[in-house]
Amino acid sequence: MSLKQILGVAQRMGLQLFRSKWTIPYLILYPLFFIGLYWIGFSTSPVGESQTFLVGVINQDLGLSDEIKSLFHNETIMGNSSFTLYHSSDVLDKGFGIEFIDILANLTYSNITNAPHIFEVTQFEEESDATDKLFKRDLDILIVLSPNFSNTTLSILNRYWHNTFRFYLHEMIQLDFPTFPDLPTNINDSIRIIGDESYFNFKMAKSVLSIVIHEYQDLTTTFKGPGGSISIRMNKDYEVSIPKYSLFELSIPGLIAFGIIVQPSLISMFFCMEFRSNNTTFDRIRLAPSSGGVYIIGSILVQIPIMIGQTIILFLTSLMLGFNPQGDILIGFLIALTIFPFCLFLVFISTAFLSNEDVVGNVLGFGAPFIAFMSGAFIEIPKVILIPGIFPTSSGYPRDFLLWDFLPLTHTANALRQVLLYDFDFHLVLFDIFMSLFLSIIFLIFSLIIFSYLRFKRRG
Amino acid sequence: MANIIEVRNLKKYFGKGDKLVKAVDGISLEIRENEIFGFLGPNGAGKTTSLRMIIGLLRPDVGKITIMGQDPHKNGKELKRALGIIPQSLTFYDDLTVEENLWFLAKIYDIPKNEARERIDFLIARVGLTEKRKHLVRTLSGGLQRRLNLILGLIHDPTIILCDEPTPGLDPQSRVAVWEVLKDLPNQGKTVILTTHFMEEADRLSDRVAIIDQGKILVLDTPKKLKASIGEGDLVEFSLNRRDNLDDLAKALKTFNGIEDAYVSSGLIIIRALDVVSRLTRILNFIETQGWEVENMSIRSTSLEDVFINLTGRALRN
Ligand SMILES: Nc1ncnc2c1ncn2[C@@H]1O[C@H](COP(=O)(O)OP(=O)(O)OP(=O)(O)O)[C@@H](O)[C@H]1O
Ligand SMILES: [Mg+2]
Repeated sequence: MSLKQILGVAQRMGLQLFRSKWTIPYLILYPLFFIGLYWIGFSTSPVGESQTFLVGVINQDLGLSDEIKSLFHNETIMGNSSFTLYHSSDVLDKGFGIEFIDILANLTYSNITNAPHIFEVTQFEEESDATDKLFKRDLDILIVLSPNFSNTTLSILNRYWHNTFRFYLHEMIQLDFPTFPDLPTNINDSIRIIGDESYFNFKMAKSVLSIVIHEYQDLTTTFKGPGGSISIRMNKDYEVSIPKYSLFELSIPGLIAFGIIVQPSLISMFFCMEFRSNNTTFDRIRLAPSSGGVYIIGSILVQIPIMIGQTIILFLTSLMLGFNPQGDILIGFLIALTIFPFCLFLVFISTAFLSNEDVVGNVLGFGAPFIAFMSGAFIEIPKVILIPGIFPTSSGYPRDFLLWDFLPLTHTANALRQVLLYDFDFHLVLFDIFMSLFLSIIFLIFSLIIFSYLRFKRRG
Repeated sequence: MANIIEVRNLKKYFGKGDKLVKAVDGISLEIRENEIFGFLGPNGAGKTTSLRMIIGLLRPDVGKITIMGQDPHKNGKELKRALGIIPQSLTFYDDLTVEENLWFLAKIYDIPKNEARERIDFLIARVGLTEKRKHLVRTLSGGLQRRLNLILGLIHDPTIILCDEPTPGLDPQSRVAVWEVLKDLPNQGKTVILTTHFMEEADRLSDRVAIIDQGKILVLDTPKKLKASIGEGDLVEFSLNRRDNLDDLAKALKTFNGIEDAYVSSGLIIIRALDVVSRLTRILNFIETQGWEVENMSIRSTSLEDVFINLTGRALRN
């Protein structure tokens, strides 16, 4: 296997694709047309603007450490006029957990008058009581505030206090501000979110919650004040603005996922011509001193840029038509890349068995939408548990293996939705990204084995 | 001369039960270095199937093939470089130009760039495609496409060339161009296996010919010896106004003094005789007294076609 051979294959296929009269319309117009159609249909239908989510809360927060509490009760400090804390002494005594729950319960949608609350909060003592309700779907989501929630919250303040507050304590009143060794600096780490990962309401609630947590953390870490004064604002009446999407926008991540896996059909139709029963052109390649690997790698070299190009077009079209993603579009694009091996799988598996471009066109033409449908790219599909509780989650409650989990696109669509629509933290979508890539690659390897056996090894 | 290819008891059957086709049914042969070896046989005789097995594209049901001491089904790179195939079907990318097709194969065979350029220029000139080298293959006439098909198999300068029906549908000029290329190959130290159902091609090009029918080799020898084997003399073919009872006429003619053989083939009466011209008047008279009229007549020397008819009772082209 030499580079020259690989490039030879790639160059040849590239030339042929370039010359095919279908290439330009298919590669460029198709994605435009496809997203455009959805835009015409659904860009003006808003959805889910005032849904109330059922939240269970278990508050294990132990409050601030006594050392800290005593600091805040220190007359010398609190009496100093250049220093104001916007915390009630109640919050400081009982801990930030209580405040946080309060905030949750009082949140409203900012953009609607007389809107219902975003969350209906129920508190639980026992985790098992809560999870019972959760898995009966009487709750959408369960939040567990960990024992060190308050300390974590404060340790985030602490980062900002280092320079000013600590200096002040130290220099002015000869006191040391206690340090918080090894405490997480991200509030997410002291909040456990539990839920049914395959339940749409959970995903929605989780995404809204992640925005709230994000804002809470931002507020917690905001400090301002003239001169030496420090003010920390922790206002419980604040409002969260939650992104409001049209049905069109809500469909975009699924559409992009679908758009990407439809693309291989042209390439497959194009490739399979090489294997037509009355076409012995491929014999020349089989007879040459080049392995199947040359052909496979060469053809992948041609496919990747096409896929990247089409994916860019899909993203750009969505943006141009008014899709306003909350999350980072670049991360969305990287997530989209994880499904490429699966696209290659579609090409190799179809051309391993089929030698007629019309048949390939039909098979993939129906196959790709079917796969996308089953992956929940268009609508939430019913829950069919295959193996209960096998995936570990950050919440500690393992997630079930559902029937369609073995399709990488399920995970790609999930990750895209979570990142683009709700700006989830990267680590929250890591599992889906991993699964998408992992399954994709497994599928690809499987197809390559079959392809090289059927197209290179087997004779007569 | 050493044997470069040895084939032992090669068999390939297709289908089952009623539909069983014994495409190749026990072929054994040796091919010598630097010879042109011809497979001559009618459509469906098993020529292509044999060739595909020999080159390693099709696995035989039974049999052993050795090419330069190696098994072609073992995928040896050395052997692959030594083999060149010119398939029966046109085998190229018709949406590429002549040159691009050649370059593609040159790269697949990992031929160094300068060497490849020289080789491509040489081959294109050799078959008169120079003017068309930048044309898309699909815009070329059938004859020119055939020529490209030929040189594609020669791009890597193979030692053994397996050529499956090189000239179907070609005009005489193109055919001669292809023949010249093939005929010259042994001079460059190459060995050629040629299949054809075209007796003139086998006769003109081959050093030795195997006549093959229904998957079996009927005879194998030099064209000269094969022709001699059916007896001496030249042939006269008569085309008559009526085609009924020709067999009886042939039988009657056979008893004539000096006539070696007389038979019917493809509606013609064929007579083989020594010094045939001197006997023509007598023959013509006899035919006419029997109530036929001669519409056409031609005299020729024996061909491999006659050898085939002699062996099978059928014509090569049915
Ligand atoms: N893949 C196949 N499946 C079934 N039957 C086949 C297959 N390949 C060849 N045959 C049959 O085997 C027989 C021999 O075919 P082959 O192509 O070898 O003949 P040939 O001598 O090359 O004929 P031609 O002069 O027409 O090219 C034919 O009857 C053909 O129908
Ligand atoms: Mg044939």
